[in-house]
Amino acid sequence: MLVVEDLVKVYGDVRALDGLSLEVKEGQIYGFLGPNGAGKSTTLLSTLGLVYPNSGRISLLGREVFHNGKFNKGALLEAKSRIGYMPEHATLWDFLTPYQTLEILADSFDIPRTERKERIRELLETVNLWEVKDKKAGKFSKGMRQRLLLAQALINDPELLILDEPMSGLDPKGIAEFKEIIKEQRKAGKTVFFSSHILAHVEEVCDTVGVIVRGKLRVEGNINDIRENFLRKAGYLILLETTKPVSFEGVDWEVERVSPTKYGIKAPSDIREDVNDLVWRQGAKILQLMVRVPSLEEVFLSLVKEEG
Amino acid sequence: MWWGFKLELKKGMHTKKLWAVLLIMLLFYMPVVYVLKQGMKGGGEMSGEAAMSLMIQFITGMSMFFLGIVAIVMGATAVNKGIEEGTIRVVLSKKISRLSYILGKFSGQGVVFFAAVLLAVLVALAGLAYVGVSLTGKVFGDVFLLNIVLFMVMVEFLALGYVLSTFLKSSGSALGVALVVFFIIYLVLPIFVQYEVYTHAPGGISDQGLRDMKADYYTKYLFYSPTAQAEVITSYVSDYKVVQKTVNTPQGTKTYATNLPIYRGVGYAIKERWINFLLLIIMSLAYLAVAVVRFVRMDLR
Repeated sequence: MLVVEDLVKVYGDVRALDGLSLEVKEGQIYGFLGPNGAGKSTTLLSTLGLVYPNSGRISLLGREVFHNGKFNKGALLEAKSRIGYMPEHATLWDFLTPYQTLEILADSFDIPRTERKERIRELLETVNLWEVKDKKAGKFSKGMRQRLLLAQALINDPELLILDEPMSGLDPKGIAEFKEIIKEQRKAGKTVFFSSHILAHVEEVCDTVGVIVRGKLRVEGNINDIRENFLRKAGYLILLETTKPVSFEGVDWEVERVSPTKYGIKAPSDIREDVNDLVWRQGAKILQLMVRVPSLEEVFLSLVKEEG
Repeated sequence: MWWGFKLELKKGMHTKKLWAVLLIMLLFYMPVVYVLKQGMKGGGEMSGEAAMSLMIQFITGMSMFFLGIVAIVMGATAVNKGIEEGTIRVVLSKKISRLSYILGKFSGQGVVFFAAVLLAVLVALAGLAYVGVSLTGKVFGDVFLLNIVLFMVMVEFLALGYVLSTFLKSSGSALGVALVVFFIIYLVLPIFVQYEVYTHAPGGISDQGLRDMKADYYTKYLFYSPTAQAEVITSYVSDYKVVQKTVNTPQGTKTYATNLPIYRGVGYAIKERWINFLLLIIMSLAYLAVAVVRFVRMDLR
């Protein structure tokens, strides 16, 4: 669906994209994570031809749209007819109603008039704006504006949906609604590529995650795999509580005594069975033994910290 | 192109831009109608030519100032405001090319100006009819052509505004720069050029000679200023005719030759100064071309 290879974009003396490569496959919900200023928006804008990269290659829906520092404008326009895009921090025309907004944007795709009416109605119902379809968007709340932005991205029934920080600034109810809509898109077989700097937004809805830091993709893959890799690299943290104090002499784990019978153990692998044996040999019993699984947030922060 | 045009037209109607432009134009027609009415009160009769001459005198200077500001300000925020608000990113993520978008937007705004001009023509004609001027074909044509010149001035300022809008990222800064640029080309530079005209004019030069010299200087040194070109055109609505005048003085009767302005019309002025009218068109296209080239290459973030 989307292939980005060795993309470079320089703004003045800032290297916003530094040889970025990623791939979004058909049917994937791809979460593009990174701290502010990491290059997420630049990547998204580059794929749509709204920003000119310096070098690299971009393929959209099977066609090469950017290569050798040039966009293939015909291929890009063609691809755009099958893509939906929701920008970050955008407002649509305040003087238009949601219905008029979608109607005028539908014009650019030559959607037949009869089909258009039905499509607009369907979309406004999906984003819960049908009730206010005749009210001017200038009076809308942030959440309503975001939903209208999402509706416009879906107007052409796109195969690939590109969303830039779609949930930023929304209240918890709005975020939950947004996640539901994204999940529905997955059910409908769409591919979604969306950026966020808030991990909780990505963790629940995405099957694949890419983490960009300073214009480079640091990690890419399945969320669970990423976490597993992190654990392998950073070590397992095991929390242990026993009926009486135990000794850890002769083992090469990092052990921190929290209280006389509570311990924090850091080990290179899952050593729960070894711990169980050690405690049992010393005549103690285990009250609690658990591996603390790091959240994606911790994995992400650690990656960002590493890049420094 | 049709899409951007349609949106801009809709925007023009909804955001009251058309009405703002029209209101400014009408504000300048009203005093003219009032003055004409006062002139008729004394039992005097005013010909269409005299009324037009008065109208041109009143309107061109003042309305060009305000309409020019409206146009350059509209142009100066045309692109950067869209980037700030994100609407350009929404639009250009659709199946719309940058070229068709900017040309559509520009022509949509141009049509809004033209609609305002047409309404202003109707109001001017109604005003002239109200004060008793008979609406001949010539009066109708002159009112129309006068407004067309004003329209061209607005279009050129709009295009100049587009140039600023594509080079300055912040719409706030672009507004400030637009006003500075406007005052420089409307006020400051013409003063310098006029100074040059008076410095180089030979002694005893006639009114006609001075006008021709000023027109040449304005054409040569202020070709980029729409108001200067319009001023040149409107200065040719009257031609000069040498007449002999006789005055009685204590020393006796004296006869001398003088230049009497004879009203010829706006069409005549455009024909005489076609180069200036052409400059209005060429420079509008040149400014627009710069803006388009810049827009199709810029990063829209």
